[in-house]
Order: sequence, then structure tokens, then C-alpha cells
Amino acid sequence: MISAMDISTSGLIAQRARLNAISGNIANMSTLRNEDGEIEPYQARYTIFETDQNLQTRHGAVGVRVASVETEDVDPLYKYEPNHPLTIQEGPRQGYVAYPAVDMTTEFVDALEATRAYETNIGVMEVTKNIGQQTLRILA
Amino acid sequence: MNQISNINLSIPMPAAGPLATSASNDAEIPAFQRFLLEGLDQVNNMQQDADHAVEQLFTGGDVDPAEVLTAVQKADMSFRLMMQIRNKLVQAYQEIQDIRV
Amino acid sequence: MLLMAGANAAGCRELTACWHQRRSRFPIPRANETQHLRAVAGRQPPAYCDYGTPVAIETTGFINQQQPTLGKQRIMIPSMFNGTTIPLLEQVVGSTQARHNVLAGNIANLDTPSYQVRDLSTAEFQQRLKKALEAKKTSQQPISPGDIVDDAPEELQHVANSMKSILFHDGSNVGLEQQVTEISKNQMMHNMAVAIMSSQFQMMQAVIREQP
Repeated sequence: MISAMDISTSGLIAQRARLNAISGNIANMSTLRNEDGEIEPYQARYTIFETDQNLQTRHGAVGVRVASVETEDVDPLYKYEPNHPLTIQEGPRQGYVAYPAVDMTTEFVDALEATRAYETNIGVMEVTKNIGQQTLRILA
Repeated sequence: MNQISNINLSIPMPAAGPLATSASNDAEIPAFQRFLLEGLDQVNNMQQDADHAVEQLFTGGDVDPAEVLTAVQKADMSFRLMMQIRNKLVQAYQEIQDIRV
Repeated sequence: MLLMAGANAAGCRELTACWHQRRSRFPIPRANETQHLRAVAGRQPPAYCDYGTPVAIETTGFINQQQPTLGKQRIMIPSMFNGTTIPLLEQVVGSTQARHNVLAGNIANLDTPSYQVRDLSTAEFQQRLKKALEAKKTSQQPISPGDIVDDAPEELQHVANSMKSILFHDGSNVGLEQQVTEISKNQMMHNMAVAIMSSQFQMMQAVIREQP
């Protein structure tokens, strides 16, 4: 039987996935190559949540799940560094280096929000456990 | 006195079915006797409901724990009330027996 | 159910009167004997008390687990719990404890490389419990007082034991939150079973003491 605890747990798992993505973004703020070794500035990852219809309690409360982890597609930041080993050799941006367009402030605020959501879910779980304990007091 | 001896002789041991409808002389059942027998039936039904609810809770049924606990507590209390009534009846019977003729 | 137990406590008195009449080797100390005999004297002993030829009771005077037989019927004292939900709750408590141990092992092994989480399947346990309960219900004959015949608790007893050999290894390695939630839910179920069981025991005590 799906209960409130399972719903809160799904929230915890989703927020943790989001936090993982954000920590990956912050760690890769200055990464210029991708996994294959090509010169490609890092693009931020972000998670998309959706309600999980499989996780539904008897009275209609639904849980959450991570639908997908998407990659952003924004223009990188260009800085003029003609002596950098990874400058663009030809084209209109010759002499520029493409840096990832990851805004540290935005990412960190998102991380704070994810942390607060995580803690709030845990708070809800505490309340659920408390309700369970109080219910036992019916049997005086 | 007549009614009390009636009660003692005609309260059958609890069988599987309801008691109040299985009394021997159906025509005139004294009101108190009917009251007692129906009370026993009701207590029995509540006990069975509580047992059924507990079974459903622990075999994965779709039942709320608070409802189950409430049903168990209600059955307990009604049973204790009936037991107290029975104690008073027995006490009354003993007092009557102690009357020196 | 408990009402039956109350009636059976009264039925027990009748039984002891019968036994004393037949000089059995099973003396049961009883307070207020004269009053009891006065209640029995002058009345026909009820039909269930007539066992025909008395069979010697094969106990050492203690009520032990091998249920002594008197003719075809069993003495009711070890089986007086069968009318309540206590056998069911015993099984539930046993299984929640076993499951708690398994889940605690999962938490302890959180950082062990290539560790697969294990669990005791609650769905499977509940299915087996349901089947054992249905078997018990269909095998129950109509109960007459003083006569508790119940073979079915053995089926219930085996449910928790049979679950201990089923650990399923879930291929998908679920994370910490899931394990903690399972432990929490398991604990709530355990506490509830224990609370209901203790209230049932208190009720039986009230019946035996004749004091609500």
C-alpha cells in the first residue's frame, strides 16, 4: 500500500537528483573539453520533474519522479585570449575562447532551494511518523 | 425472581448464531432478557468486526490503521461493559441466595 | 473471539466438576468450591461434559506444549488464544522483526562495493498470511463451549518461518532514502501489531480475572 511515507521519499529522491545535477554544473564551471576530448564548453544540466502516476495513494496524492535530465543549449561566453591553447582558429571569433555559460549564483541558489525542499520532505516524514505514533494511543 | 430464574435457565451458551432470536418461547420474552441477549449479540458482532479489520490490515487490505484501532478499542470497551453487567447480575444472584428463608 | 473465551471460562468450571466426579489425576485448584458445587448440584451436567469412558490424561501435571487429549477433543488451555487474532499478530511481529534485521544490514552495507540490497517481500508475506487465514476459516467446525478444536494455528505458525528463506535480491540498487523509509514503515507496522496484541492479552486477563 502506498502511503504518505512513499510520497515523501519520492520527493527526497527527486530533490537529490536535482542536487546532483547542480553540483555537477558547479564543478564543471570551467570545463572546456567534453568526455570525448573535443573542444566543447560545458553545457549546464537541469532536471525536469513530473508527477508519478504509479505512486498514488488511495485518496489521490501523487508522488514525483525525475522525467529527464536535459542539457541546456545556450551560447557560451567568449573571452578574447589569443595565446590560449584552445582558441578558435578561424571564423568570426578568431582568438576567442568559449567558456561555459554557467552562472554560479543561479546554480547555488537552486542548490539552496533543493536543500530546503529536501529538509521539508524530511519534516513531513517526521510528521507522518508522529501521526502513526499518536494513532497508537487510541488503544488506551 | 421469576424473571431472574427465567434468565438463568434460558440463556444458552453462546453458539455460532445470534442469541436473541433463538430463545425457546418466542411469544413473550421478558424485556430485560431480550435486552441482555441483544447486548451479547452486539458485543459479539463488534468483536468479530474488530477481528476482521485487524486481519484485513495485516494481509495488505486497503484499510486505515486508525479505523482498525478504533474498532478494536470499541469492541474492548463494550466487552468490558458487558462483563461488568454480568458481574452485577452474579452479585445480585448471590445476594438473593444468601437470603435466609 | 473473546466472548467465547468468557463462556469457556464458565465451561471450564463444568469440566472440572465432571473431572472431579470421575476422579481424574488432574487436580485443578479452585477457590470457593462449595459455592461452585452448589451451582452444579441438582442440574444435569451439560451434554458436552459426557465423554463416555474417561481416558487418562497424559501430562505430568503441567500444561505443556504437547496438547493432551481427552477422547478426541483437546483441552482448551493452550488453544484458548485461537479465537482471537493473537496467532496472526505473532506471525506479523516475527516477520517485521526479521525484515528489520535485513534492512539494517542494507544500511550497514551502504558503501560496500557491488552490494545488492535485499529485502523480505511484504506482499508475499501478506499473500501467504491471507491463504493461511482462509484455510483456518474453512476448516473451523461450529464451536460448542468447552470444546476448542483448532488444527489450523500450525499453518499460521509456518508462514513467518517460511518467509525467512526468501530474500529477494533486487537488481536495481535503490538508495538510502528508500531504505530508511522502508525501515520506518516496517517499524510502524510492528508497533501497531504489538499494541493490538497487548490489548488482546489485557482483554484475556480481564476475562480470567473476571474484573474488567
